[in-house]
Amino acid sequence: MTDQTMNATTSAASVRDYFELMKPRIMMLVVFTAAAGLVAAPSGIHWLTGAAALLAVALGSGAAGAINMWYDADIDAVMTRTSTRPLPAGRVQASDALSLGIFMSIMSVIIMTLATNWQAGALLAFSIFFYGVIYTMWLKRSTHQNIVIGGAAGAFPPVIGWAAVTGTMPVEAWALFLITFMWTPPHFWALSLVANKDYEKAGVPMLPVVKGASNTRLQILIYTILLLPVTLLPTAFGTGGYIYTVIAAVGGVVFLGFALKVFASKAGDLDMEAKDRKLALGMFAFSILYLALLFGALIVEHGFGLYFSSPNLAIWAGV
Amino acid sequence: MNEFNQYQRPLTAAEVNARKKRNTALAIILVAFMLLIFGISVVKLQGGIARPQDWQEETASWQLDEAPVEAGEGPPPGMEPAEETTSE
Repeated sequence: MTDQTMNATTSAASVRDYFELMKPRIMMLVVFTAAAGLVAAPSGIHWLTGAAALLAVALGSGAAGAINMWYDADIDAVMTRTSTRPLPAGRVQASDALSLGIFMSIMSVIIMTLATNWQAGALLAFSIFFYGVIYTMWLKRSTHQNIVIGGAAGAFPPVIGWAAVTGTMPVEAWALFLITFMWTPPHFWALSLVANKDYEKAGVPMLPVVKGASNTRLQILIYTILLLPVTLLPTAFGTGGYIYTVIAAVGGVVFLGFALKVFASKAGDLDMEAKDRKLALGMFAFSILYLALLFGALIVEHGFGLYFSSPNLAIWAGV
Repeated sequence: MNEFNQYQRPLTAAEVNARKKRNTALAIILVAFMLLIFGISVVKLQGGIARPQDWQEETASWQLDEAPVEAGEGPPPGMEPAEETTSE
């Protein structure tokens, strides 16, 4: 191949196309929750080591996203929402996306292990495997519980952040895991109520496609009710102070309000009106803000010295 | 000329430009990675062998159980010759 000739398929791919393969919006949320685990852990870490750990988490998230895009290129091409992604749009070759995903996976785990410890590196490797293989290649196309189980992949980052600092994964870190784990189903199902025709067209067994919109709205409400006490676990363990507790309580009530309204609406039904669609999308948008506020509160409290001890329920309970 | 040349064509100016940008980004990433590994190494070393005062404090306690040896009186601790055994 000469200097000025090459295979035409990838010759026009921009850096932005490759960046888009990494699902940057998910990456931001993942890094944010990992940062919360990093600063909430009861120990110090050198700023450069902490930054390297967050970079590793970002690379790992991007790697999992690239592997997901490689494997899902066929269904992405069918769905309206994803048809403009780099692979279905033909801007990047499938083999390039897979190579990028595998290379970044390896680099992220190496950086995490070198900068912090093997525990954090191992958990990062497992979370990439969980999203890229267990969720993407197995659960997504085989069960309507795909989001519930697959949500674990996005819930690992705060535990990884905690482990990066302490080398341990105590119950306080898993409480942060549980928040994202319980938050994912109502968050994603709110969107899938609106996009269920897309999923049906692509043959993806999302809950609204398999069980119907009515059942999905009920499941959203159930998971939201279960989420509320889970968001107060950091308060119980002393990880969350007054700022966190107030945000968790107020945000939880607002989120529950959305869930009740969506439950009473026709969102996802065939005769869904514009206001129902707006309501489901509103819940989806608020869910992102809600999670960002929860983990943002932990960052503010522990990272900026604004932690004011809240009633430690764990001590009261004798745990 | 090889057998694959039939699938190749000269690149347009836009494609050459895109390739240049990809290569520049790759170079920046490689340099950043090198600096990151260097920085991590420095931080790790600062916590270990690059802090001799910690090493001195650590090793100072090792000699507490040893009998003090006057200067010039016998070999330093740990360098004594092995005792000779007599066979019958």
